[in-house]
Amino acid sequence: MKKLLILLLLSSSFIVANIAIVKKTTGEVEIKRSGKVITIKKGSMLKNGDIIFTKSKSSIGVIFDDGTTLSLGEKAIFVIHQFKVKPSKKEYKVDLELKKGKAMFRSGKIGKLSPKSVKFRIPEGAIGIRGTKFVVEVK
Amino acid sequence: MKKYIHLSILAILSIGCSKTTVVLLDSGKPNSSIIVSTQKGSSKVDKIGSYVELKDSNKAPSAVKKMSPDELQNRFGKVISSAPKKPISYRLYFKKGSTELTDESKEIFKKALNSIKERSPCMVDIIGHTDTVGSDTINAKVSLKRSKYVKSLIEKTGLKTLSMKAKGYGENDLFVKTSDNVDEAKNRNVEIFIK
Repeated sequence: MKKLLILLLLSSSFIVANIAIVKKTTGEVEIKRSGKVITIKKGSMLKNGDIIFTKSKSSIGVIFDDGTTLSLGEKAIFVIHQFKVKPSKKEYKVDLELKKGKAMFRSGKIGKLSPKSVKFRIPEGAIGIRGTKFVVEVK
Repeated sequence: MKKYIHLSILAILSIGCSKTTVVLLDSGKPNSSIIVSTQKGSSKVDKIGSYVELKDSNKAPSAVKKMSPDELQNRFGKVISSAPKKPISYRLYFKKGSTELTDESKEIFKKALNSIKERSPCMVDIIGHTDTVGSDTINAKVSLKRSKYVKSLIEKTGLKTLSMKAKGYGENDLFVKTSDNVDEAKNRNVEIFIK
């Protein structure tokens, strides 16, 4: 039983790989990861399922695995549902969500390899991309 | 009774508050566009600086409008300036039939090392690419072998990164787009992708 548990833990940590790097922050930025709140700074890594919260007068800039860049302004809530760009296996799925605040998105390799696999959710619907850079504000 | 009035005001407020604006920016790539959709319809935004607004998932997006540079700066200037530097790629080429870098690529390799230092802390992918001659599976293997070799060259320098991965994309991410079975020297490279 114990062995099985360890095996499960090992395999789950393998699945939850790092999918983005935090390149800059100002003020206070936190993420919620499996129920825990963690403070984020330059050099932190993000994983699938992370929810990013920026506080007042705060911001964050990240680069995803494929070179996609994202920045968030103050008081934003952003969910990384899934970020999978694996050209070696031709597996592509990007599912992101801005719940509140302002964001800038610029697609990386995914914009060239499989733009249709990108879903950027907003409260009223979704944004699809064709090799693109955009800003969005959710009030 | 009072309770109900209170609730209805809250509901109106929350509807009034929900509003999303999406603006297309210049990505530097031609023919960029976004498709903004709700349950009731979708709008294509394909002109730089144009935008749509959304109020409800049960309403189609607004007509496409043009945002003035001043308004864009006022509303989005801060978030735009919070963006990180774009990642950078360096491409290395090998002498024909060997694992030795061309003289030009040796110089490019030095530049890549400098970039890794400058951008620290960073994630680095060493990505092998092939042309479209031969089978997918073999190309994937060959490209991974080359990328592992370049990774070992970087490791020898002792440079520190947060993560360094060797990957083989084979013919799935061509530098120069070609059809299948095309001998294209430019596509046989190892990319040092610095994030």
